[in-house]
Amino acid sequence: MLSGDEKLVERCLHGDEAAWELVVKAYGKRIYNLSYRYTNRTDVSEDLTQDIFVRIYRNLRSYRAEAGSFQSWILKVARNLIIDHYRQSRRYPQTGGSDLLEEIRISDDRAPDPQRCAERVEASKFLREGLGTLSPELREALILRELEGLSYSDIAEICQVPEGTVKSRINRGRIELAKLLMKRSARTGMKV
Amino acid sequence: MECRATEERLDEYIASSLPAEEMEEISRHLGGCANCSLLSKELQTLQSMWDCYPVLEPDESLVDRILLRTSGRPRTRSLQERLQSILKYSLLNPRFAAGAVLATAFVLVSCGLLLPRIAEQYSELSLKSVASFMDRSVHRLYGEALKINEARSEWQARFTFYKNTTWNKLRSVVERIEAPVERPSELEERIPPDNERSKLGDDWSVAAIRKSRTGSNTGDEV
Repeated sequence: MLSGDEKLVERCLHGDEAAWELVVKAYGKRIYNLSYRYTNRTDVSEDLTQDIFVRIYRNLRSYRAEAGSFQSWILKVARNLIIDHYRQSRRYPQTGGSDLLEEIRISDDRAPDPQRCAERVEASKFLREGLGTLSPELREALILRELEGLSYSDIAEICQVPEGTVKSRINRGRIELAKLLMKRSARTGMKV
Repeated sequence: MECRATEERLDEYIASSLPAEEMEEISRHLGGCANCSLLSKELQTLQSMWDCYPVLEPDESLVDRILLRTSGRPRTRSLQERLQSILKYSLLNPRFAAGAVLATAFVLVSCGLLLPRIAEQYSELSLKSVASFMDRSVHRLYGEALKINEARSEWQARFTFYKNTTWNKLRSVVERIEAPVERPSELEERIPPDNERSKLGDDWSVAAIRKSRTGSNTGDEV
C-alpha cells in the first residue's frame, strides 16, 4: 500500500501538476529556510531553493520509497546541492543583509514584548555567528538536528555517515557553541 | 574524572540519558569544577536559544517562480487568495491610492456642483408636470418595446429561412449519398474483353465499345 508521499510522487510522475504544486507548497518554506541556515543570505537562499526544486523535479523518478521517507530524500537532494554551491563559492558570509530587515520577516508572533523581541534578535544573531565559526560538518549536524528537528538516523542517512558520528558531531558542536557563549558572557558581562 | 571526558558526555548528562553511575560521576565532577559547571549551564541556555533562530517566510512569488521553472504552470489560487492579493496590491500601490483619492475628490466635487441644480429642479415640480413626464415615459417605453418586437420577428424570419435552406441542402446531400451504387458486375460488362481492348487502344468509351461490338460507326450512339 502506498503512503501519502508515495501517492503524491506517483501523481507527479504521471504529470499531475496539482500534485507537484502541493509538493512545492509543502516543502518550499522548509527548503528555503534550510538554504538560509547554510548560507545566511536570503537572496542566495531563494536561488538555491529554485535550483533544488528543479533538481527534485528532474530526479523524481529516482526516489525509492523503500530507501527512506520522501522528506529525507528531498532534504538529501537539497543538502547535496547546497554543499555543491558551498564548494563552488567556497565562502559564506557569517551574516548577510540587514539583521533588522530579516527579523521583520520572521514569522513569529510569540514575542510581542519589545524586550523579549530584542533578546530573540540577539540570540538569533549569536547563533548565526556561532554556527558560522564551526566547521562545516559540525554546523551541518547542528542545523539538521536543532533547526530542522531531524532524528539521528535521518541525519545519518542525509549526510551518509554512521549514526555514532552524527551524535558525536552534534555533541561537539553544542560544546563549541556553549564555549563561545561562555566567552561572550565573560567579555560583555551579559547573558543572552 | 577529567574535564575532557565530562565534556564528551555533558550533552547526554543534560538529557539524562546516561546510566545512573555515570550521571553520579559527572555530577560529582561538576560540583568541583567551576569551568565545567559553567559550561553545563551555558549548554542548557543554548538549548533554549534554538527557538529564537529566525524562521523566514519566503517571498510569495517564490512558489510561482519554482512552478514556472519546473512544471511551467503558475500556482492555482483560491478566490479568497486572489481577492487578498488584489486588495493587498491595490492598497499598497501608490498609483491606486492616488487614483482612489482623486476619484473620491471628483465624486465629492460633482455632488457639490450638481446638488443645487437638482434641488432647484425639484422645487419647480408640480403634479401636472409629473403626470406628463410619466405619460411621455410610458409612450417612449411602448415605442421601444414595439421596435424590439419587430426586430425579434425579423430575426426569427431570418432564422427560419436559413434553417430551411440548410436543411434542404443537407437532405439533397443525403439523398445523393443514399442513391444506389452501380454494382461491380455492371461495371465489368462495360469493360471490353482482352481481344477487343487491343482494337480499341486507349479509347474505352461506351460508344467505342458498342462500335467495336456492332462493327458499325454511324456516330449515332455518341
